[in-house]
Amino acid sequence: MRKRIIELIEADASVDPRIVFLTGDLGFSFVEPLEQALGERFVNMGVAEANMIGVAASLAASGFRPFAYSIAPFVTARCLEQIRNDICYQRRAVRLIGVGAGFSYGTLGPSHHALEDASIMAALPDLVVANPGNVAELDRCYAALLDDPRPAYFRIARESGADYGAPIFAPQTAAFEARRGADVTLAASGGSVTQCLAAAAILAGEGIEAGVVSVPVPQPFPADAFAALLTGAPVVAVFEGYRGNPLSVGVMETLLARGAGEAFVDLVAPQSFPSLVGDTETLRRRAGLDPASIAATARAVVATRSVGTLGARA
Amino acid sequence: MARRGSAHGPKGPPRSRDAEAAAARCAAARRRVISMSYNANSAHLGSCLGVVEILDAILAVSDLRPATARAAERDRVILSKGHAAMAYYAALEQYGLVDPALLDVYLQNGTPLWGHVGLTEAAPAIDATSGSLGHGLSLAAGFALGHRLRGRDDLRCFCILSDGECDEGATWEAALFAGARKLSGLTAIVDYNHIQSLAPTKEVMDLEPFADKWRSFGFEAIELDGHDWAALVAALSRPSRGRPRAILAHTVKGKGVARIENTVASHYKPALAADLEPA
Repeated sequence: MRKRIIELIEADASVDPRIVFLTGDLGFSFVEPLEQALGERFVNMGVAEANMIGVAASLAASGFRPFAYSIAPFVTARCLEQIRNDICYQRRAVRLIGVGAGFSYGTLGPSHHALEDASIMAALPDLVVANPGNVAELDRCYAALLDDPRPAYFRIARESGADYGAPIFAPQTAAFEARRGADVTLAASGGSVTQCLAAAAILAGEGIEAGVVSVPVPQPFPADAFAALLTGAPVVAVFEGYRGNPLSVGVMETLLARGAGEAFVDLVAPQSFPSLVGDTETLRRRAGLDPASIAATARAVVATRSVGTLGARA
Repeated sequence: MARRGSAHGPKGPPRSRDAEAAAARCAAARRRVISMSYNANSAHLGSCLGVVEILDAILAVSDLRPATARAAERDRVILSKGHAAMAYYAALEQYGLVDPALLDVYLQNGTPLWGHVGLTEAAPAIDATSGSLGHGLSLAAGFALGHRLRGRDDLRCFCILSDGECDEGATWEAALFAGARKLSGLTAIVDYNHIQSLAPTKEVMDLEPFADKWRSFGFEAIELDGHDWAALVAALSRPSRGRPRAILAHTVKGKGVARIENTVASHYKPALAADLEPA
């Protein structure tokens, strides 16, 4: 996915002289072609994310289309106030690119994990959060937001995601069925869509047909498009992040507004820093966000029609 | 729009080199600041009174005028010490860059000028929001980089910082960047009144040797009296030496209202009715 977003920018770079790419000294073996394509419009800002964001904001004010690239926590939490004041308050259409969604960076440790990033970004006014789950979704998100006057955060996973395709969507319609199934709806965003599809395959072997709804732009939440896909079946929201993430919140708000009384479980990561080393799959399993755990949760909600949150209290 | 011949000079005399006219503008701006503070019961009076000459000198040498305020390519002025908002609004008023009526209703509900500088359609000359310290130099550096990418290194970016905000790491991130990139269009002017929010800078976080710090970051550094308008204009107008410039302007916090000069409290206490009378 990292490679793909660089390719997308590279393709535009030659035709759009407004594109400027700023990196916080990261992107080894990925960003070099972009440096070739952009020349002086490729700027290594050094290990100084706060400055990078301020500079990006004023480049946007000057008529450029700045991208600011780093590992997800460094381009969100490290420079949060610059994003809040310089980008959002000033309404500067900067594209933040954070690589390493969720547990992507596994064994590198919690400093590099991105579990609260989407929640924090979603708390800011006007900031769009794109959380593509596969390459097709990334392409669609990039195109949908290219001319959007709002700032945007692209939350990019390391894994490419399953090939479940993606229709053309606008940010406000970014919800679609990655899999059909009437017994339970797994609502997911980003890499969790792929985990949910694997969970659906497990459930299908047991005679439970799980639908998987992907929401590649969870903030602002595409409530109407999502509601149109609901069938009354129980819903499990799955997000590789903490409680309060924009997918969970959007799903809950939509369900409450519908008032149809669907059973619902919010499946998120425990809100704690893991003390023992784990690779991406291990961390996902411990958090209950791997296919087997998602299937178990879905199985339980189908059986009990319960309402609640898993993970947050684990 | 007529442009200067090269980087920042030689470009002939600034539009208003008349020190007397400048003194009159600064006196009017000070009176305006005092009345705004009094009417709105607003804090930051001392911070505003100390930066009056700096702001006027920057506007004097910049190309920021009513006719250029909405231009895409022009000089940029960023008040990073956003708590000096009243002084900025008062300076803009002197150059016809804000509707005086808006200053009459400063801080009244429903009006567009906040207590810390924000972007507003009511004053398109304002280039950046501020209020949280340590953001402005990066914003100015971003404008300077944008000018460079357009081949307009002749355009200037002026950033007014407080001494207190030089405690912020982000200020030095920006300084490192501007120095390394030799952003010659960038000028940082530090309102060096030697008093930060709770106590003298020397006690809280001594900045000295301050000029050396800027020089070591790749800046040309100039120290001067921040109330000497002619000296400010001269320093701001000096031909570029191919690197960013830092002007350390020694000022008196609360300048012009004797009872509050050089006091920490002038950061917090609004003007009194007695301050409205000429000294």
